Amino acid sequence: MAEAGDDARFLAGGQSLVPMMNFRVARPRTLVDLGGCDDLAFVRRDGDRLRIGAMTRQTDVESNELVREFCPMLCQALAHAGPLTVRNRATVGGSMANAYPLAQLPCVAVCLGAEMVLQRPGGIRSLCADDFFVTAMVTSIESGELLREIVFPCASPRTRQAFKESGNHAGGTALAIVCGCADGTDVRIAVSGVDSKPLRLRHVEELRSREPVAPANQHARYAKELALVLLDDVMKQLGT
Amino acid sequence: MKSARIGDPVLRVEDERLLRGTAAFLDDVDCGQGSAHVAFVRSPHAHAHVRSIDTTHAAGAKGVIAVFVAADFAAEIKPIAADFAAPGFKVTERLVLAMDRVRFVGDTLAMVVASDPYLAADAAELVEFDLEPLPAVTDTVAALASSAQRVHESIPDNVVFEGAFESPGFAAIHAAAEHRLSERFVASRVSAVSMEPRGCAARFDAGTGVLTIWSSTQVPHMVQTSVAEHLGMRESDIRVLVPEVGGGFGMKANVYPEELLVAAAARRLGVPVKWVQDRYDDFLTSAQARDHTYEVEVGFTRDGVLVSALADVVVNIGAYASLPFGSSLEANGAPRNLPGPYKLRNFKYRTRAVTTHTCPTGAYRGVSGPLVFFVMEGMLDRIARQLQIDPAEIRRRNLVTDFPYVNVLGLQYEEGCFLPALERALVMVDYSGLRKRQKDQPKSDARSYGVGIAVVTEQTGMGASRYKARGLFRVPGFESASVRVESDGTVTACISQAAQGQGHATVFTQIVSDYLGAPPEQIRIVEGDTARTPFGTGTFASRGMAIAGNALCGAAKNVREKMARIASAILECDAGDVEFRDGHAHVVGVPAMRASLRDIASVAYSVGQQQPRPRESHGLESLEYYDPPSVVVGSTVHIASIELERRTGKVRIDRYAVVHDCGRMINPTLVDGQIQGAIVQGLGEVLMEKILYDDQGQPLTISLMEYQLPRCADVMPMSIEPMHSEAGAHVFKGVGESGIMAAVPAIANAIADALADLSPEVSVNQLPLTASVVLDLVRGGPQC
Repeated sequence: MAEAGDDARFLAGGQSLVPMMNFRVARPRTLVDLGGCDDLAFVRRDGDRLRIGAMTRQTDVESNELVREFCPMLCQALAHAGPLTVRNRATVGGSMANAYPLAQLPCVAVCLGAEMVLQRPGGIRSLCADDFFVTAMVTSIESGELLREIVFPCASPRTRQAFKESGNHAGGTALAIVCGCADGTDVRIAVSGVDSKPLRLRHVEELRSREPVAPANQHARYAKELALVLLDDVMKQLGT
Repeated sequence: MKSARIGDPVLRVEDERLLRGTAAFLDDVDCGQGSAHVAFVRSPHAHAHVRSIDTTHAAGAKGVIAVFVAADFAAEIKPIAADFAAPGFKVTERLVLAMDRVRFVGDTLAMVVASDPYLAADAAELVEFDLEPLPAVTDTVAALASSAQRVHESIPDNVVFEGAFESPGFAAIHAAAEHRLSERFVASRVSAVSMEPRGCAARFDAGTGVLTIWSSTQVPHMVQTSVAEHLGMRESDIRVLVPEVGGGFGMKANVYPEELLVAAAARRLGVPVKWVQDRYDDFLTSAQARDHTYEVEVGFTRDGVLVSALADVVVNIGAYASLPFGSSLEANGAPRNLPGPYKLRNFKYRTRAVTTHTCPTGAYRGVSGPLVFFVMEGMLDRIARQLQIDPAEIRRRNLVTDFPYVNVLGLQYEEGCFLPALERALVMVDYSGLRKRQKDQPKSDARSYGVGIAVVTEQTGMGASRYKARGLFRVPGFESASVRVESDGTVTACISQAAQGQGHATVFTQIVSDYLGAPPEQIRIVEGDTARTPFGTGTFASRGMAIAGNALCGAAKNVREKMARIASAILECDAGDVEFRDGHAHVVGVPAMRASLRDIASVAYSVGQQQPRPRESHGLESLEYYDPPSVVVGSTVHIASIELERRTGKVRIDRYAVVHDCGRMINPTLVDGQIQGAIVQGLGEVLMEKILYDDQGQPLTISLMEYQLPRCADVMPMSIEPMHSEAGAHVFKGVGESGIMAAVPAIANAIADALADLSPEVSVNQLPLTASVVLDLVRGGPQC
């Protein structure tokens, strides 16, 4: 990767990058295949944290007992993340690094305040999900850096989590996503679809307002309408 | 071995190869050694002056065999002039490679031929061009404005076809109508999006001078005649082969510039040349459809009886008229379909086809039917609402019930069952129950219910006279079939059409089996090969069974007569007492007296102990042409019941009933399949599909991310029943398109019905009705 410089891309599950290469939109000169990096595929409990390796396949995460117990929102979200054949190949890290504004996992990461662990030769740094996602298809990953793992806070037995999305088709791409997590009075809500990246809705969390946010553009106008409906469902499910 | 009968729900004979992956589509065809591959360089501007094109870098790129621009083929390929000089038409020309002007994003600047398709695509990016962008018009309102940018220099008003009609005394009758209602309807442009995009290949044999063309097309014979015409070749030197085709839906009923270019390149280069389109190019260049505007006014009595209709139709045909249907296909088809199944005696219309800087349009399932019935059925519901008469009752009062009936445009409906079909569909869907549910619904519900009815006619199987009357001179109109019993008793039937997955081999096999008694496994159907099949028009406009089916019946009947004569000699009986089933000729009433088809064939071909009697010729073969005198009118009733989610505008169809009349069915399972598929496409046209251009003519729907299509989970259960009149039991009517023609108005009317209580002021007068549009309508606007 260091040799290839800026024209290189890491290839994780290839479920977004390869179609973009087919469209000739992405044109990396060098691909560094992470497929053989088994040490990047894991789900581990680390105290009150759940550490998921970037190369863990989405179906493996979805069916993982630890994830089911300590981060159920992730399982709900993954059920929407494309057809099973795609999820068999797609990875958790790949979806995060791709930063598609309507992907399910970035919204979950922002909602739960996940920690994104980046590795470079000789060093590691962590970013919170809010800072990791910059805008559509852009993250804070710098040249030569690799997203190594994603660290989620573990849900306690009294934590409630909810994930809802709405789109043009059952099983198709979402137009709006709302997810929420409530632990007593600590409520966290995130929305995707109204802006170029997932947003935390702090004013909603503090019950000051039910309006998600002003839509970023004309296209997001309908997404905002959907988000409002989803938000009601999520709040109901969280019991707030 | 048992023979199959017409009317049996026989399993599809082509599914074995299609489902097991042994079928060869265009991309699978091996065109021979040294095959080269094509990538086209498309214009990125909707309208521009071409200053220069520099192919130096591309020509020097890895694997490149040739790069062609307009000048390379100027003397070899005639410009396409799709229309003939006839009243109402203005002829425009299209150069297969743009010379000094490009007219839509996707117009072709250059053709790159390389040793593999990826290298061709790489090299295509190296073609450099200097384009001077010019102002573009993309919609008909702009194109019809007095100072509008011209698309073709020779057409100052951008109108390339205009037609009109006025029934005697129209003005006075219309003015005297007790009530009048007017409305403007706008329907978006759509794309067929066949599973397999387009593609073609060609190989020139320098020794024999024969040019073989493979094309993913619905019209092999028209490809042959068009290539001959535009490349200055003899038709006898051209053979067009159609491999398996993954859907056409009318989009592949055009002859495209790429077919001419690939043929010319193969001839020039002396190596086989192949082009396989990708989805992006499909969205840029494959013929799109619809894109109509209607201004209509209907006159009616206080009892809701339709008196008169006045229509002004404008159709956006894109940058060029397409081969072979030209500019008038939709513009002329729309008003001609408007009277539908109703007793409309006074009618006036004007219709225009307008050029714009967008992708050329062409045929797509239903052609103008779905939109013109969206308009007509929409007006009937408006009359019903204004007079507070139930929509079903309004239709009862206006449907044609006495046959034969000649409509206001002179089209004869020989027979039909419009009203009984409506009554049956109302029962199937429990219409009164649906109305009660609607009435009893509490205002606080998050959902609104709506019911929509559509009764439509489908003009199927148009013959030569209809096409000539419409100015579509390139369309032959007839079909043909040859049937040959081989010397071993197996059967080969060659039909002038080509299949795109609809099951031709199955139904044609059933016809042959029914007539000759040959078991299906001993019948081979040959289509899509101009060297082996007799001349014909092609597969579109619901022509397959209505026309080619009749040609095949005729040929099979001739062969059967000869077989009966030979069998009568073997069985020592009268030829009139011979019947054919289960692989044998039987003496009627004496089943033990029989001769196999092989025995009969061995006599006919003199390959056994016997030969034909004196005066009986050798062989067992017949060729028949069939040209229907006019058009066969099929019909259908669709009723859709929907739930509309008020907060999201999402529409869910909860009940769907169809009663259809396609006369005598050859295979009811395939008929159901035609109807189901067409309804799904109609559902897409109403709820999702929209080709979008920005005001500079840049296409915004260039992949299936932007262009929404229905998927499995969007499709509802449907109840489908056949019905026909007594006379209709003997007629094959087409059934490929009635499904979409009725689905569009039925679903749109159901949405309008749901909205009528919520927002009485809004008018459902646009397509598509996406969830976001519906949500706007729930809130009272904005409208088109």
